[in-house]
Amino acid sequence: MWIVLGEDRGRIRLVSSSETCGLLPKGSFLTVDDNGNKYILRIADSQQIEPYSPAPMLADMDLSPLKPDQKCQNVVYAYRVADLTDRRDGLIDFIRPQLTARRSTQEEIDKALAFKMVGPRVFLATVQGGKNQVLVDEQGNLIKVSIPLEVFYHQILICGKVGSGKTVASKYLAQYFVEELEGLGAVLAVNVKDVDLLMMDKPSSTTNEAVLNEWKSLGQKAHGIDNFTVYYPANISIEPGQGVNQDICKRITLNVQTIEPEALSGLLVGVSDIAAQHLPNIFRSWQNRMNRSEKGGFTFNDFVQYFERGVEDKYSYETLNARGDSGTITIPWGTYHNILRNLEYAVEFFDNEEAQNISANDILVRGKMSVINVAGEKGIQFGSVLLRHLLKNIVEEKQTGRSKVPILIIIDEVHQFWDTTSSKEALGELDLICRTGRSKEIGVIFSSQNPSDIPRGLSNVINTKIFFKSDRSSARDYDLSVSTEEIQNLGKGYAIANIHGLSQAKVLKFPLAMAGVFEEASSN
Amino acid sequence: MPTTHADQEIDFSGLSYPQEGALVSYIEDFGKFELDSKKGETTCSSVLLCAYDESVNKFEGLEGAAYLTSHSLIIHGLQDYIPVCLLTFYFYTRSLSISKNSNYIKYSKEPDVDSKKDYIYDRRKLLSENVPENSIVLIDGPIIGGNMATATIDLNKQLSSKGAVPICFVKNSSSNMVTDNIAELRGRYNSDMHWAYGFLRPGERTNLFKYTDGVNPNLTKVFCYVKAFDVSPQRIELDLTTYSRHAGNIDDLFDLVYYLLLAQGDLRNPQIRSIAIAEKYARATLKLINFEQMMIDLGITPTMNQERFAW
Repeated sequence: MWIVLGEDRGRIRLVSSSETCGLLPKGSFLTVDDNGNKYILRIADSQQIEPYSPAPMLADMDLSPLKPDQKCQNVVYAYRVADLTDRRDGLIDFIRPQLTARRSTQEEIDKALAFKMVGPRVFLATVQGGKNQVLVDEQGNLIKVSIPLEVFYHQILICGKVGSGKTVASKYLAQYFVEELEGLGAVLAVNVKDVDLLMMDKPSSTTNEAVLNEWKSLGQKAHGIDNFTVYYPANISIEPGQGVNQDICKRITLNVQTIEPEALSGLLVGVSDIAAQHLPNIFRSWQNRMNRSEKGGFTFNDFVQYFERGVEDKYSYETLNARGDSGTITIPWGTYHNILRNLEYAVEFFDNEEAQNISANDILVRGKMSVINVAGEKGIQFGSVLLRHLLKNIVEEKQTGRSKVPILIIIDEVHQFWDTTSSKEALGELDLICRTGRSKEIGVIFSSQNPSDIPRGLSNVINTKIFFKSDRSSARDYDLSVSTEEIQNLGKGYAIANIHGLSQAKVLKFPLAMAGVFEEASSN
Repeated sequence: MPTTHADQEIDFSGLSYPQEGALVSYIEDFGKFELDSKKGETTCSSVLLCAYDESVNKFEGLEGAAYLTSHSLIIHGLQDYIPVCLLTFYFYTRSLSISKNSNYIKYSKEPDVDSKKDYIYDRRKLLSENVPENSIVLIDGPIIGGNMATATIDLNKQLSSKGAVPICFVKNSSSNMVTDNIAELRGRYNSDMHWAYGFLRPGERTNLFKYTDGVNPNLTKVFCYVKAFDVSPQRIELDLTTYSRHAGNIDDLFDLVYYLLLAQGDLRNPQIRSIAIAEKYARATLKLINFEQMMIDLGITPTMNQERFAW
């Protein structure tokens, strides 16, 4: 039990009663009862005090201390997050000194914070020093909260070091999207390393009691995603020894005849925004001309040769912009060589007869999770082009109303596909999705080790930020006295969060995804 | 809460044993004894301890003087100190007309003397009713003698019947019971404390002395001086009956005292840890009442001194 002492600079100060023999960690919730009215508080800071402040002399002389002198109490500072009262006169109740408070129940937290029951459920958690815990009520029940569905369409940033739980969290959210979202959604994820996302068809495995207990609390158990496909570039392979089910893997290639011209800018990461804008217009003009010609059967290699011949025209090319305006552009010598080098590098991504073309229709399937595997040599460049192509396709499908399937796009290591300095214009469809995703039911999860990896043009439109164990993070945004050390030492699966529509849930524990996570027996 | 704290020390000089008493004898050979904190630690863990201190607020009004006293007894619990506090309020006046109109206002020709009497009776009541059986009671202040000796005798009887051991501590005293009665020391020191400070090294005590009340020869106390740190020593007093009952393990008591002085760990103002805690409670409970405001609300006109110094 905690006793209200009063208010201190906007925060309620409470002290633990005699029988309370521990610290209430930050992120916990307390309920103050006052004759039927209830006030819900969220702990922002929690400290130990020693009421008798004994001198260190006894210990220094190797003498045992007086037991009562070792008494400690817990002083907490809490934000008032909700009043469960019927007051209607426009005033707000006092939280009077000497009222008592106890840990809030699930029901009180749900009521107070207006949590909806729909959405992926995570656990409220606490952080104190180097210790993280899932929040429990007085009976030891885990306190859960549902992440509002709108969060998906307001874009999510997930940051964390390797092994912190960010990929597992992405998997968990993806699995919800394809299995539990009303009407079922579709997920497109990009796998950039190892086989992180390639085994979502398999049930997770763990013997960790805490994880099993969390699943039990959620009414879940390990199971793979039924409709799961891995797409991979025809120029790389997924070795059977990697444990990926070959039956669900499909080789894909890019089709020079149908590729979105804007997608080619994905080849030019590292080139200035303006220079990168020239290539799509040059390509569009060429592609348009070739598609109209009766020859047919042209390849990307034909375009590379066409571009190469530009040297004969003093680097002057015909262009066609997205609005259909024709023109001519002369590109600088350095840019010419830069683009040419990247085009030659990308030839093998295109027109492979043994692979299939992929379009938005392959992705926008209810209940289906699609993963594009770009791990391996040249994978990022391939993914960079394909992602732009698919995003353009997906936006078109949604905007024209041809598809009403909600889609969640998971982009790991986004800085590998878009420069962190990319302008709004250079981000193209990605920026459009982030700004209009809500109305079109397109959501994006950006997953990265470092928040500064996110393209500058996007960071303002990402409404939900989830930080797992990170090297750096701005704690002052959380209304929570979280030290850098505490963020650096967050346990696996624990995160400090700023969630759209769920602002009072600051510390979360993500459950283990039910698919695609394989824990060692001894792992945490 | 009051903006100015009006705590004041009780002046026991008139209530301690008068100087015209006779130093009867040494109970131990004249000398000094080393204290053992380790033994004190052992004793501490095997006995029940409690301690007493008080804090007083005084308000001087034109109509009379008010005393708000917090008597604080703390008992060493297993995990915490258990406080028992008694708050008393008295108003003394030399005005018959004021006193006759109220049952709560005391007529007094000597408010200072009467306030001390009331204080002693209240202290006795608190201790006799709340000191646990078989405990060691550490009391801030001297054994009360003089014309209040009866209260001391009564309290000792009551505590004795509970098996309790009262020990009194005097921090500030200019008495010279030792230096006036030992020929070799006479005239060489300003006070006993002066003598003991030079005589003792830190962690030592003097031998025990026996001193008899000049007014009431039946009231005899046993005392010694203890020097925990290199500052002014303290005097430890026991009444003769208590001493006689515990003479066999009297060294354990002094080792315990030393341990408790170390526990407080204040090099500049050595104090028994338990008494220091009792003092904290006494002061804290006194602050629960805005005494000065209460007096003004009651229409008591503060004297100039009260206005200027507010005790």
